[in-house]
Amino acid sequence: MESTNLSVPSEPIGAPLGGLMKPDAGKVEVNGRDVTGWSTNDAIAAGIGIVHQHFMLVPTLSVAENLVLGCEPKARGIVLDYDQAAQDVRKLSSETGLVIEPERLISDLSVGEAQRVEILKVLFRGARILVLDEPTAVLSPPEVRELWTVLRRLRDNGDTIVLITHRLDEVVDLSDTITVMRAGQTVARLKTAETNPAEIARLMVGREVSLSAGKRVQPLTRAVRADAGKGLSIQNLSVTGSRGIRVVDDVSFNVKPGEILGIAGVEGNGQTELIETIAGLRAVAKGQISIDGVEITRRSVANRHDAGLSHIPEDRHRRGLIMEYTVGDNLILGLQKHFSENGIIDRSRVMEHAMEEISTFDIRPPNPLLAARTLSGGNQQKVVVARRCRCDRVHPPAAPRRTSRGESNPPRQRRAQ
Amino acid sequence: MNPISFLTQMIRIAVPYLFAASGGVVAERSGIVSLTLEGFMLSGAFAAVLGTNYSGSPWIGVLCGITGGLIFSMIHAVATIRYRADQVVVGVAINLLAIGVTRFFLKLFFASSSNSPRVAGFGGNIHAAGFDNPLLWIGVLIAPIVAFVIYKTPFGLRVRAAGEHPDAAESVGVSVTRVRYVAVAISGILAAMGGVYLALDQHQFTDQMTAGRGFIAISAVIFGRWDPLRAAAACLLFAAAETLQIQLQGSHAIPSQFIEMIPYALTIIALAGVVGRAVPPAALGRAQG
Repeated sequence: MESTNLSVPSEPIGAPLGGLMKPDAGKVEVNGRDVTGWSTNDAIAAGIGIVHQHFMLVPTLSVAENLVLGCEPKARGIVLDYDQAAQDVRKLSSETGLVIEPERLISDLSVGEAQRVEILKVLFRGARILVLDEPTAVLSPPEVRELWTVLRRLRDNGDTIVLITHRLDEVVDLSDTITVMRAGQTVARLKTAETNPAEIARLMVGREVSLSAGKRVQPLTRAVRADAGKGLSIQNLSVTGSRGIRVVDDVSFNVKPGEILGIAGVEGNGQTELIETIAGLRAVAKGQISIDGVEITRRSVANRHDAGLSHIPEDRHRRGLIMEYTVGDNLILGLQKHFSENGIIDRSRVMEHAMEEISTFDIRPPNPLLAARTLSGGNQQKVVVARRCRCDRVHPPAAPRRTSRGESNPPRQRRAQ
Repeated sequence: MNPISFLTQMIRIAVPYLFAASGGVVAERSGIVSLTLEGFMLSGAFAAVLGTNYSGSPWIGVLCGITGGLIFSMIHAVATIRYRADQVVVGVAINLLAIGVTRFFLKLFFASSSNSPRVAGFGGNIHAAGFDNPLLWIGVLIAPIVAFVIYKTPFGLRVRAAGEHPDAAESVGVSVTRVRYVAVAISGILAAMGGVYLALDQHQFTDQMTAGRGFIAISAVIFGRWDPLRAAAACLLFAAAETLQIQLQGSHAIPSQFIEMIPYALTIIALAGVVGRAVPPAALGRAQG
């Protein structure tokens, strides 16, 4: 982050706080008090509560335990007073409308419920300034409406709310003032009543953007090739998740050659498991997967690749790349047998291949000997896509938006086969 | 076989396991791997004999033993928490270091490479069958005490949070570093108490006298799914198997080696998920910060 000025008057809902990272320069004040060099504890004491995008909740503990962690009520000097904790949670619940049973385990909650706990947690610590980092990313539309109701109620109680989001409708819907940031710098401070989505979008991106494009569903003008029996076919697929619960339940679809299938839904509703099952990383509980009429339900990952399937993983750090390997080596991962003779890798061919892919996919910096970890997220994604386009035909990419947030989308041109 | 003598012998054998496993539960719940229990026990056993030998009082010996375990646990804590070294590698090193250090000082203080002279101990009434030893009673009670601390106190809540989701604990102002230091210190003290009991019960220190008991304690922690009371039950089970082996000696019904395998075989079975899944603390073995 570069230089950012953000001032939020008490009460209105406005759009680098928290003490987890230290500012290099500049000043942070709360109610006029300089709190620049603070720690997490100072931030809490100053009344600032951060609702993190990735929940900061301990899954094996109960709602009440998570809430009191760090400021536990005590009975008889040393014992944690669970009754008091549960009572406090219920009281706060009824005050804010964030209803949740204090005895439930976090791991049993839905995403929306977990977020309720997250907000309760910061309020429990007496926060009067709430910072919400992309709170709607994981919520379904009814859950978002519920969250809005709660936030408005908190605002009316005199709390200050900082909402970090990239969704224009949310900004306009909820805020009183808006601070637009681009590349770590404040580019504008606006009053919501005096602006409009087009202006905000222009300031966010730095140029005119048409907001209507992409909003309307374009009718399909391109004819999909009607190759009967060709492409990817999923029949009555069911998958059991890590906690023994059925996460994919009787899903069927067909994707024909020349077709793109979008799977819509809030994160955490079985999409990841579905994709991983198609890719061969998870066992099928029931159902069939086939490519061009050939069943691959129980085939190995390598076997699926040979059948023409390729997987661009949701989490490239965990599954897409080996971060310590060079770009060149990452580009031949899984294809190494095509680049070796008698079990020895032909380095010159690897280099040649890498240079070719680097220029085709515009991977920057164009150096095949750099470790993958030194590349930016978007360029890492290009390496994954480049490797997958090499010899495969069916791509199930999971949540591609998350993987290259804030960067231009990687080119997805197809190579001649 | 006399059931009373079986039970008393089983408890005497279980006490070192109960101490060490209780310590192991605390450290592992905070996110620090407890491969070090063996080394903590051995250093505790030696320091206790050293202290008792020069003071003549076994209680001074207990204090020295605790100090010995504390010193080794702090080496482990500084390396893994402060310097973020791999916990398994440091754990193995600590165990080897304890063997070397105790052997070196055995030679230095007692001019022997195998054992110390006889020292004072607790109890000794032949009719009490070892139950006049206050350490035995502490050992029997230690698991419920640890369970109380882990589940009923603010410190216990912080230990569990540090081992499951340290970032969440940090975000609410809990110092994971401090929690882990304290947890490792507790594991050092408790495991050392196990070693102290062992040495004072035998009235001497012998080279490598813990003989893998620390590893059996780790097995109990895992078999008990990181719960103090279940781990204690595992300790009793392993001790029962050992008692059986001793009492069956001479009968040759079952080769003793098979009885000795029981703790390890059960641990493998537990880890393989046969008796309910053994899920370790999520952040176990991962450095924080």
